[in-house]
Amino acid sequence: MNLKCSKCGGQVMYDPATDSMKCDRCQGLTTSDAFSTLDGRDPTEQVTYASFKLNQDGTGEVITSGAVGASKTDVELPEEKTAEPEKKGFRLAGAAPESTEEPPKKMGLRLAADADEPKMSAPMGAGPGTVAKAMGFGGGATFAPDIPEEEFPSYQEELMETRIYKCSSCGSELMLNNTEASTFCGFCGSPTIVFDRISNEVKPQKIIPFKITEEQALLCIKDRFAYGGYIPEAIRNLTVEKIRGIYMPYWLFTTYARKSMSLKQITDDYTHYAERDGACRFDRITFDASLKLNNQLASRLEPFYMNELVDFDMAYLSGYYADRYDVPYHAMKSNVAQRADEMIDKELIDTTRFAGLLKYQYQKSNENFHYRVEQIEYAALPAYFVNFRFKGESYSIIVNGQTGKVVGNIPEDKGQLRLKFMKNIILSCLIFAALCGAFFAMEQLMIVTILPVLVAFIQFFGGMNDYKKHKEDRLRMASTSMQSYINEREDY
Amino acid sequence: MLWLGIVIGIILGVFFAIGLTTYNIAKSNVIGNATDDNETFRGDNRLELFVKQDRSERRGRR
Repeated sequence: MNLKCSKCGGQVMYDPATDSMKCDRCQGLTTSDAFSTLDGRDPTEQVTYASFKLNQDGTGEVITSGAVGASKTDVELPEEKTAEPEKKGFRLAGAAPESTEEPPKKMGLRLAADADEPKMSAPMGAGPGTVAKAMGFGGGATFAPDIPEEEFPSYQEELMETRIYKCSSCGSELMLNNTEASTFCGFCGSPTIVFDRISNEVKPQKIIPFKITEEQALLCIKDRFAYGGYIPEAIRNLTVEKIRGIYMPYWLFTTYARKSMSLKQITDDYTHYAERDGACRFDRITFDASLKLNNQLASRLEPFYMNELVDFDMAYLSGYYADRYDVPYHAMKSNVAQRADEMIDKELIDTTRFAGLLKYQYQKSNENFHYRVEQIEYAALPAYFVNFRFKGESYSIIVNGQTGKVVGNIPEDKGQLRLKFMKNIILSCLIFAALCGAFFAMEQLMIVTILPVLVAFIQFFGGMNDYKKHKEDRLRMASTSMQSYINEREDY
Repeated sequence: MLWLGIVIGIILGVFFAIGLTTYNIAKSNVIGNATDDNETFRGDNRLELFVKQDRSERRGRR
């Protein structure tokens, strides 16, 4: 392929002295970035980016990157000319053979420059191994997905007229069905709620109506508390006076994700390789749209089953309250990408022999991830809120209004904790002392003793790890935003 | 030797008891764990695989 000068149409070649492409007719210089348009192609069209790496045996290695991801293949190229492009890393697109004085001895796979030449990228829906076969599997070759990442789609807001009530006790604002009047605050239970104004609010597109009643939600909480060994008796027999059913604002993102990657595991006898490229659609990934409700807590409240999602109607709000969103959908972009990446990653790994292994047990490389948000919906999802105080601190329990799943954090009963710890110590010490004493008495020192040592330390580190997570959850629940959320709604 | 074994056993027993207690607290007082996103959001959609290649190489022994 000839690269032509944009000024006179003459042939241009790379000039190392000026780090530019130089026209042999008009001697004009052109920067490498300008070349995406010189061959008459659309600048947005996918172009293979390339750089060369020169091996010691005289062979060159073409490493493609950029729009098509990291791929490589072996190509023999003249030594003196291959080194320069690698250093500069400009967009090559087939210019290398022309820019050398001697023709290359062998070109296994030329970089695509013309439409009739093979591209080193697999179009969406390409068959398995389109490029991997050509390049020889196992050399770290993986082709990138070719999904054009569209701009984040916009959400068309539809407004509805609602009555806004304001609580003079906790300051919260609630939306109510226009046909109803509120007599108490949905969050704090205070009767000091007054009608504030009629307002135009963003209308949710979809809603999952409450599937369980308040009584059933309370039963779910009591059931869950019943088998908590370290839950204080006072909390276990909690008398809940007020439970509030609130429709929480959620954004739902339907996302198509594609990812390719290489996996490698080195064992004593074998090195295992796996190459994967796959795509999957994820329906209605949920993100809570309330700034004050902790994201971790909201994600633990999931799943909500979307087969019960229906079109929004004000009648569903009857008897319940609705919170308004304060996180716009476009603020979720990085969260959507991260969650979609994690999900497609897991889908792909589950198809390999590395499924179920811990992350440090294998290596991952050549990752290429693309995603496309296909649909954004604003939905109201049901939850019951119960706040209570224990020894001067506020705690919050949330119940999924569709499934009855209970989420929250409970303080441990210190008395119970000491008692059970002492019991555990006495029992464990007796068993381990008997075992180790017997092994030592039998002089089976090295082999047999290692078993109780392993058991003890695995339990110790496993337990400490779980407890650390629990403490982190506690801190998260007590974070500034969550605490203010609770404080605004706590009972006075 | 018997006494040495008993002493080591008691030390190991303390470690085991600490691990068991902390594990139980975490299991008992953290209510509601996060669910598997993949199961929830993949729904009826199946993974479409474009490349699936596996290879194992035997490593040389010294």
